[in-house]
Amino acid sequence: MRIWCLIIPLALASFLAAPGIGRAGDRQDDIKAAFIFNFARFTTWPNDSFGEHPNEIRVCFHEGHHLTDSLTTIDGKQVGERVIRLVRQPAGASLQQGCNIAVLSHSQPATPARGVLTVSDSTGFIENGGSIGLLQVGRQVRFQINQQSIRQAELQMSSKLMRLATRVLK
Amino acid sequence: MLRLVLPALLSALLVAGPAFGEENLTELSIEELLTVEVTSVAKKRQRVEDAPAAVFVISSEDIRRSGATRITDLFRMVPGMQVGENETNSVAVSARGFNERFANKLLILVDGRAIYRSVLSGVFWDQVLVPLQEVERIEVVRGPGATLWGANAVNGVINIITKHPIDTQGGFVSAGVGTNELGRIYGRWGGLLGNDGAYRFYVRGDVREGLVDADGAQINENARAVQTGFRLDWEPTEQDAFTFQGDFQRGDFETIAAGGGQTNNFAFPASNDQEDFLGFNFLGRWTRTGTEIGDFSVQGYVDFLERGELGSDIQSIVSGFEFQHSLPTIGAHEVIWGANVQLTSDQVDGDVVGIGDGTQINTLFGMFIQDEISLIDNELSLTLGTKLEHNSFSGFEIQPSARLFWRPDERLAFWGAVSRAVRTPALFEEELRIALDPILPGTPFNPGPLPINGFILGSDLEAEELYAFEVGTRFDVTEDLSIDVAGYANLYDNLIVLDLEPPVFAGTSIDQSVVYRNNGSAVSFGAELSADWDVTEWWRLKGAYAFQTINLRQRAPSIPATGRIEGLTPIHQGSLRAQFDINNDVEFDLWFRGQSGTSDNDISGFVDMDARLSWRPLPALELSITGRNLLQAQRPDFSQSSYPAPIGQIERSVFGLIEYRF
Repeated sequence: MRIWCLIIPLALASFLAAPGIGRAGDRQDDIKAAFIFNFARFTTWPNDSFGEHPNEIRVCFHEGHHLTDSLTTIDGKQVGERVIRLVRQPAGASLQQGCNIAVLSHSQPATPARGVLTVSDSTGFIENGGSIGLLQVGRQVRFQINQQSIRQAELQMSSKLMRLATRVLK
Repeated sequence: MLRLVLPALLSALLVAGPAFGEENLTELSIEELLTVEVTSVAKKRQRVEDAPAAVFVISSEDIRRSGATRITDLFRMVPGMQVGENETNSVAVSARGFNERFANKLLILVDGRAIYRSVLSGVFWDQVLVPLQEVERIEVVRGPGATLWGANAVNGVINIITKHPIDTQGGFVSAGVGTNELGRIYGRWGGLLGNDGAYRFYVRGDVREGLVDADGAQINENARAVQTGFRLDWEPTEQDAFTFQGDFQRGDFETIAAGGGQTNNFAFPASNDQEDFLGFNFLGRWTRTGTEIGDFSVQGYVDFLERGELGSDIQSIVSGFEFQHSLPTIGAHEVIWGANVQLTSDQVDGDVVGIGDGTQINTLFGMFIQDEISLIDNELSLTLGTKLEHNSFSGFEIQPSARLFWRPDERLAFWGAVSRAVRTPALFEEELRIALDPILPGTPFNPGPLPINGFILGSDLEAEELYAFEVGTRFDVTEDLSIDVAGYANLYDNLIVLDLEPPVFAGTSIDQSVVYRNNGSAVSFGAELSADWDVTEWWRLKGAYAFQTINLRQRAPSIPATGRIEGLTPIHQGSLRAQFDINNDVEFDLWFRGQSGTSDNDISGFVDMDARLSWRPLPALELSITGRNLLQAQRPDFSQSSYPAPIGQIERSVFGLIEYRF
């Protein structure tokens, strides 16, 4: 049984000494982007909301948004007959015209516009009128839905998404 | 040798640079995304489709739509698993045969804590009171899992995984009434602790009427149970996650052993006892992921259980400490290793069944190492591993396995495995001493002039061993239809059976003993199939079928009872679930189950059906009604052979439930 006296302390020491890779938050941001891709898959837009780009789901955000790098992982992904297209707008520009999904940051108001799904990971987002809020607790990422905002934007959300939400605000 | 290899291996790790296999998050389903940051349990996170083993996952959706109230009912949807209700508080659960009142070849874990009890080499299922509303999924692996999990994962491993507290935020209450499940309540509350932590606590309680005799009269008094518990997760950094959880339970029930010699020509003392149980457990786990030298986890737990069983008092304490390390991928190798220590303390007191010498303390040391070698990238891989264990019952045990996985096409995969696993002797098989009622002279079983005193005795035993050969395939026929097939040949040796000793003349009587010995061997074959078919958007079919046959041999003369194990396993078994989404708010489910008869315990073949209808008038409110075992008024489900007892029958029943989330 001597071997145990050796292995366990060694193992614990290696555990404690293990240095981190230090990609702070990158992975959680990637998960958030993957969620946004899934929201696109489970949302139905009004027929006329694709305008000049009938084959695209346009995901709009402002230059410098902290999810920018992660969002590039979903650029060009297929959703049914359409593809995800990222649209970067200069700071201050409207994210309503020509956008199907607007990824907002903390400072922006989230007034619902017809045919635009608003998403953000800032706190209190759905309480302030946003459609889907991404919630991060520790490493875990979940989402919350504001049903009224979805309705006002004339979007339809699959019941599966509603069921999987951590919280649904009516 | 080992002494030199391990430190060398470790220092090699310390210089190995990071080389992570990047996971493509955008290819995960939304359900997978919700659980991608695991803080538990699975020795290694792997997609079911890529597992070189017979795996079946029961999802929280499967649980909800089954209308099941007890965890054991869920296993009826798994191909190759047998569930038999026997008495109000006794359910026999096994995989790939050998089902019994005290089935002993299956390892069960709740959030990484083994709930297997070495007193009986099995699980007291009526004390597994994990609220089904908190279960995220149940992973069922049929076949040996001993290389990773250690002894007693012989015919299968079941991993019950509860939800992260972030998924149980806010309040939830549910209340149900029924004809058999008389009353059932559950309530929980979950909240956040700052930005990094979440918790929940719950309380549940239920009263069940249980099984009936052939005339429809209850064979046992109502059984009652309450449990309360909590789980707290804290993830203060990107890499560290802590989990703390615990439960406390109480309950009471009645056990019955019939007098007389129905089963084995011995006069078993009759008993009819009102029993109760009490239990608590606590677990702490720390995982550190994404370091330069891989992922680590340490966990410790203690689990206390006390219950009455056939007039005896059982007290069992299990405490364990485990360490695990998955290395970053080095070339084609993905290595994971770990070590564990487990301490058990058992005590059994009673007039009928007792185990001598007061408290029995047993220790177990184990370590495992497994290497998944990618032979052709994303196409062919070989997994080699072994567990090395020392336990107080049978000494050193080596449990290796080799598994090959081949994916020639995105939609098609094959796997095959060879493994060895052992089942350590139960405490009672070594220490038991039952004095049976004497069989009087001049009776049908004893025509001679002297009374016969019968004894059932334990003896010093080796572990049972299994060599298992498995193959399987998974095929996505279309996007909507997938099929999973597994086949196995199991060779068992050193099986613990009851041997009939020669009678001993003891002056005024004859002593006749039966003794537990490693004198059995068995060969079993089987095939299991499961298929999922999304017929339309609103209609899904989930089928399962299993075929199996067991041939048991005993080297010495035995009493008939133990030779019957083979005959308790149905040769054919099937399940078909149909799920209909009538509209966004209404669901309808049908669940057909059937099996062929088992001759040795006089259970005839049957087909039965459950039906469930649920309605959500509000998103937060669900009303449902479930009818169970609807096709017969009552029928026997299973009959055990461990001791003579009345055969309980299950009745047609109805259960209504109201659930509200706030």
